[in-house]
Amino acid sequence: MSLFISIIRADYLQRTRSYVFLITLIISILVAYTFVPVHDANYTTVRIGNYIGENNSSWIGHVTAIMASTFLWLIGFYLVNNSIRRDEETGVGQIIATTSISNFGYLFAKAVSNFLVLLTITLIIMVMALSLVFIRGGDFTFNAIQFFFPYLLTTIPSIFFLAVVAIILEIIFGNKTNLMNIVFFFLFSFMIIGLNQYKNSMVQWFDVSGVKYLTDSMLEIVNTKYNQTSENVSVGFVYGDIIKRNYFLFEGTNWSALYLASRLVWIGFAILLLRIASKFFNRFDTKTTVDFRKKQNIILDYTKQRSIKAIHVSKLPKASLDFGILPLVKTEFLMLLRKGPWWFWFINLGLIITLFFIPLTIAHQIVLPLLWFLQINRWADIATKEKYYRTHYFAYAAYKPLQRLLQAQIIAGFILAFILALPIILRALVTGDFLSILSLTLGALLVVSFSVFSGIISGGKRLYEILFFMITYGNLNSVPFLDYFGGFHKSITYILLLFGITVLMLSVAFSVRKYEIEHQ
Amino acid sequence: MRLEIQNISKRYNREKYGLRDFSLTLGTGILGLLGPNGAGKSTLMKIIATISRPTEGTIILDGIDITKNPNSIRKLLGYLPQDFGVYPNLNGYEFLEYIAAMKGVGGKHLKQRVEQLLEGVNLIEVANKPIGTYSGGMKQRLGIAQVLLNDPKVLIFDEPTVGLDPEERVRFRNLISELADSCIVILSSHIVSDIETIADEVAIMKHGKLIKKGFRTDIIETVNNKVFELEMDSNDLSAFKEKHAVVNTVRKKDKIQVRYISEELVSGATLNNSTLEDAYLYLTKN
Repeated sequence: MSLFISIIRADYLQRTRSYVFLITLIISILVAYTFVPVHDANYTTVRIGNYIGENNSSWIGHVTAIMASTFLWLIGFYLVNNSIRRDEETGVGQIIATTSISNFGYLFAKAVSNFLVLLTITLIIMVMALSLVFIRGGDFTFNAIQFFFPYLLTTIPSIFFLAVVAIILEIIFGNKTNLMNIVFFFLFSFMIIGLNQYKNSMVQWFDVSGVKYLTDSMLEIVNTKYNQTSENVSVGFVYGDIIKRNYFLFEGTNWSALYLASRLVWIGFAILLLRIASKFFNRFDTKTTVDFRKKQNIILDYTKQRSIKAIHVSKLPKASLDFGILPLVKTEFLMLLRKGPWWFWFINLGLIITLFFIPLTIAHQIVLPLLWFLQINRWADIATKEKYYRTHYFAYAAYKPLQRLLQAQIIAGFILAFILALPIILRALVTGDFLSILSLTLGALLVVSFSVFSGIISGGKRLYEILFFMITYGNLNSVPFLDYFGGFHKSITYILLLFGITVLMLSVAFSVRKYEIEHQ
Repeated sequence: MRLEIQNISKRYNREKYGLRDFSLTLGTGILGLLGPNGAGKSTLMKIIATISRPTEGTIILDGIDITKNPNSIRKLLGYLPQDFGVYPNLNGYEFLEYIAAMKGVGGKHLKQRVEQLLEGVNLIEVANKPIGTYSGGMKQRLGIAQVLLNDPKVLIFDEPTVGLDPEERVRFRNLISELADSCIVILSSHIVSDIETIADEVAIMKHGKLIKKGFRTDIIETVNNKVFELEMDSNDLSAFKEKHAVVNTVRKKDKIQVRYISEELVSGATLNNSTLEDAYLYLTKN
């Protein structure tokens, strides 16, 4: 039991003591503040037809719990999806493998730790929501049950399930993080977004997020009170359509025993899934299954050649000086291409070809951001891999590392993004749409600069993964201020704004890296 | 070539120092750095390799202050860190070419040079395979090869023989000896015999300070006529250790043979030839 608690404790402390977690908490507070829009805001978060609840404690509790559940599925996974992998990479896994803890015990401890990390963010959001009740709540009385119950019965079981999903996907995909992230993206789209689109009330029992039960009860109140037949419920940041907005008084949900039971069933189901998955957990014995063939080849090759020529330094061909960055760009680009499974390039190729033929607006606004998002794993550590692979000793002792290596990394990343966007750029060229060409080029630079910036300030790739996932989700939902590639804005002012942001991010990245190099 | 390390300190916080007022002057040849864990060897090497900046002091290479102009030494530097990593998706050729590009080395002979280095470190047969499949010793040899990509004049090896088999260690020593004719070579190791065999001069460090520097023979002289061996019952060992600096024990049938350093001869003990290891242990224990 003490080992079980120790794993949870160590894992939780390890994660929460990172910059990424701190930054995620700050983002969570900022995002939570936007969950409850003011009356004249140009967006809504939860909307029942044309109706929005008055900002009383019940509405704020429900809306923020619904949004927290969605938000945490959106970003929380990227925060916790390296629990087992980190133990493997640090070698701690091999020590754990020799202890008496069972597979299930270890995995359950990891799941609980994941859950605690997500719960911490949930509590932060809840505290923010509570303060919003007093800021925006007006004269309404505080209803504690209707404020807290949505968190207790909806968000908390939902994040527990997410915590377990993260562990199960790690077991299934191992080090294939690219594939894991993408599978999760579609899983999220189906489980959290897709299910809520179904109108059948039975669907709510298949909704792990528990959100549908709450929105259905809101819908019922609106339809009964105002004689409506609306079935349209929107969850998430929806912009525009302000004029038709009406307000209604929402006094809360009727919390049925069946709903409570369904939430407990989801928790039980998560534990059952984990139990099954634990049968397939390799307990850090990866080498024998994965690398055996390769290792054997190496050993054979190694034993073949024992007649060794000694190095005679004076006889080595003379090396000449070459301070150009082209060879660095070439190798950096090569490393980008080689990341992830090779067959993933078939998906990329399919999407690139698609970009030539689908309507230009869809290509620019939906498929391109998705295609760029699929490269998340390639770009995520573009400027931080030296630390991860411990090659920074070479990199920082090299000739002009800041001016040469970092630039080469940015250029290589940009070339990849530009090539992927090439079909749209060519189509824009044919139609003479130079604003789009400019914004796409800048978008390609921005997406890489953002990786360099977030990687260098956080010291790893996780922040980029979290934020890029959020941004892409926003792109697919047409959130205007997340348009980094000019899909929704066609003006030179907007392009200048993107340019300014890119320059700012790169300046900060260069300054921080300069400091790192000088103050190791 | 002349490398002057002048009053270097590296302070991590108000009380914790990695190096404290460290000074040393070096010419061509091999300097072996010895010291217990935390003595500051790696910190010193990182500072010379321009990866870390000293809090105080300067390092002058042929009249140029490298703490202010790090790029001036980087062109001449070959550095093998203690715990370096590699990019697993690159093969041996690609990795060395990448490091060469970082160092600002290129030209038409680069490919040949890379090939000869890979051959020299016994990796040519596996040079086309991803480095992710290499063993620890193979990666270490790749690290040694990258040091020589740019005709370095200042070579820094931090624990270079870790993971090398005995045959490879001998080859490495020979290589270093050849380099020492025209380069400044700084080498740290926990294996005193490695230093003893190849270093011209030895510097012993403790708690971030230089406690002794000189030729091997000078350092060994510190314990001349002070190294003894004595056989005793194992029960007496604890009490003996409290009074004398024990450097080694060998378990024999019923007894224990103890090698110790002392100013005075204990009854039954025999005087022995002193080694660098004796001197090192004596200096760092006191």
